[in-house]
Order: sequence, then C-alpha cells, then structure tokens
Amino acid sequence: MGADTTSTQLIFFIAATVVATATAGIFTGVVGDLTHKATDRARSFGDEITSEVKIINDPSAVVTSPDTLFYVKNTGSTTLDWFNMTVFVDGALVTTTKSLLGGETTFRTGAVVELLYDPTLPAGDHRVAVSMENGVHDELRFRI
Amino acid sequence: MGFDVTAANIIFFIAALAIGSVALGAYWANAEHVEEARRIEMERAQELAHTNLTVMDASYNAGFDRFTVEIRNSGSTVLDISELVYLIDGVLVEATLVEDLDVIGAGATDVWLPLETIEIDFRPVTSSPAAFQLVAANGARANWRL
Repeated sequence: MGADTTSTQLIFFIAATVVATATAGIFTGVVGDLTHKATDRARSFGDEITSEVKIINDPSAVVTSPDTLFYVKNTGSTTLDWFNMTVFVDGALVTTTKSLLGGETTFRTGAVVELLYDPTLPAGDHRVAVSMENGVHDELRFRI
Repeated sequence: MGFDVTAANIIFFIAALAIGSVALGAYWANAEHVEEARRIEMERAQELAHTNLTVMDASYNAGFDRFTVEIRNSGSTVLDISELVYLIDGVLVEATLVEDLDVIGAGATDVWLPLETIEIDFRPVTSSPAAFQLVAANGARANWRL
C-alpha cells in the first residue's frame, strides 16, 4: 500500500468522523430541545390540573350596591397570579378593582380575592366568569 | 469495512445511547410529574364529592347584635374550621366578626369530623341577616336563607 492510498484512507477516516460527529451533535441538540419542551409542557399541564379557583359568592345574595362584589377563592394547590385574573360579566370582558383579603400577600391556597365591578347590574339573571393566566376558570350564575 | 465506517458507527452508537438516556429520563420524570398532578386533582375532586354541609339552625339576637348559626358536617370528609369562609347577606365576613366558633361537644379543636355540628356566633351584626353562606376550604358550601 502506497503513501497515496494511506493518505486517501486517512482523509476518508477524518471526513467520516467529522460528518458522523456533526450529525450526532445535531440529533442530540434536537432531542435535547424536544426534551426541554416536553418537560415545560408537562410542568405547565401539571400546574394547570392542580390549580382551581371558585367564585364563592352566595348566588342568592350578590351585593350590587354601590358596586357589585365578587369573591374568588383559590381552592387548588398552587399559588396563582391574582393580579392578571380575567373577569367576564355576562360574557363581556370587564375591568374590576382587585384586592387580596385577609392580609394575604399572595393568592395561595385558601386565599380570597375581592373583585369590585363598578357598573350597577340591572335586575335579572347574570353570569360572572373568571379565568386565570394558566387557563383555570370558574363561572357563577346568579339572579338579582 | 474500513476504519472510517467503524468510527462513524461508534460515534452514532454513543450518540444514540446519550440521546436515549436523556429522552427516557425526561419521559419518566414528566410522566411522574403529570401522574402526581392527576392524583392531587382526583383526591381534591373526591374530597369535594364527599363533602356535604347542612345549615341546621340560624337565629338572630337583636339584644346582643349576635347572629348564631349551626352547621352539620353531613358528608364523610374531615374539615378544618380555621379555613372556613362566611358570607352574611352576600358580604364576606372578616375574622374579627366571629365571636365564637366551636365544634359542639368536642372542646377546643380545629378538626370538624363527619356528623359533628359547629356553632358560630357573629357579633356585632346590626340587623337580622337574610342570607348566609359558609364555604369550606375545598369550595363546598352550605346556604341559609330567611
């Protein structure tokens, strides 16, 4: 075997090694990325199903004057972001003044958020719904 | 088969092993996390389904501005009376308004067992309430209306 053959084989060896390493690296990167995404999705799904909120108003005695008062209790097992709670009254997105009751600083399990809705609701059937950032929601139908 | 092919195969084999172990590890960790979350969700749903609260009696004493309610745990869930929330006439009651809260016949305790009745005195309540609602930690409710 001459020097030219050896050089050719060496070049093929190096080229094959470089191509194989690069390909393996790309696959490893892609799988690593997919794994991270799957882990994030699993965490967020887990958080979502362990979260729960309930509108705890007495449906027969919802306070409507001077403002309409709603109470939302965290009955799940995760601390939620209460400030970004979305509120719908009769299907329309509304702005409310939110405050945490009982000296709480976070919307932890058992904590209650008070929602003040400014316009006075007319007599009749109504529906209030709240939705948290992670998609957890609750709805209450009541009559004034 | 030359050295180049063998080397490439070895690299692919090592990479496949690494990828497989990372992916499998992540799969089991995620499955465990989701399974734990589902277990918590099921437990909560089961607890709520087995909670039943009944207002047995409610009375107002105008002389003492006191509103007294008796509620029975008629379900099979053990509850914590320190986690109860009350609404009188639709307004959430501050803890300071609760003058007395006892599990009847149980002495000083926070544990509210099935078939036990609690008695709550609210004071001062300046007029006779027309509606009362109790909410347990799991969201179960008991209502009373005049």
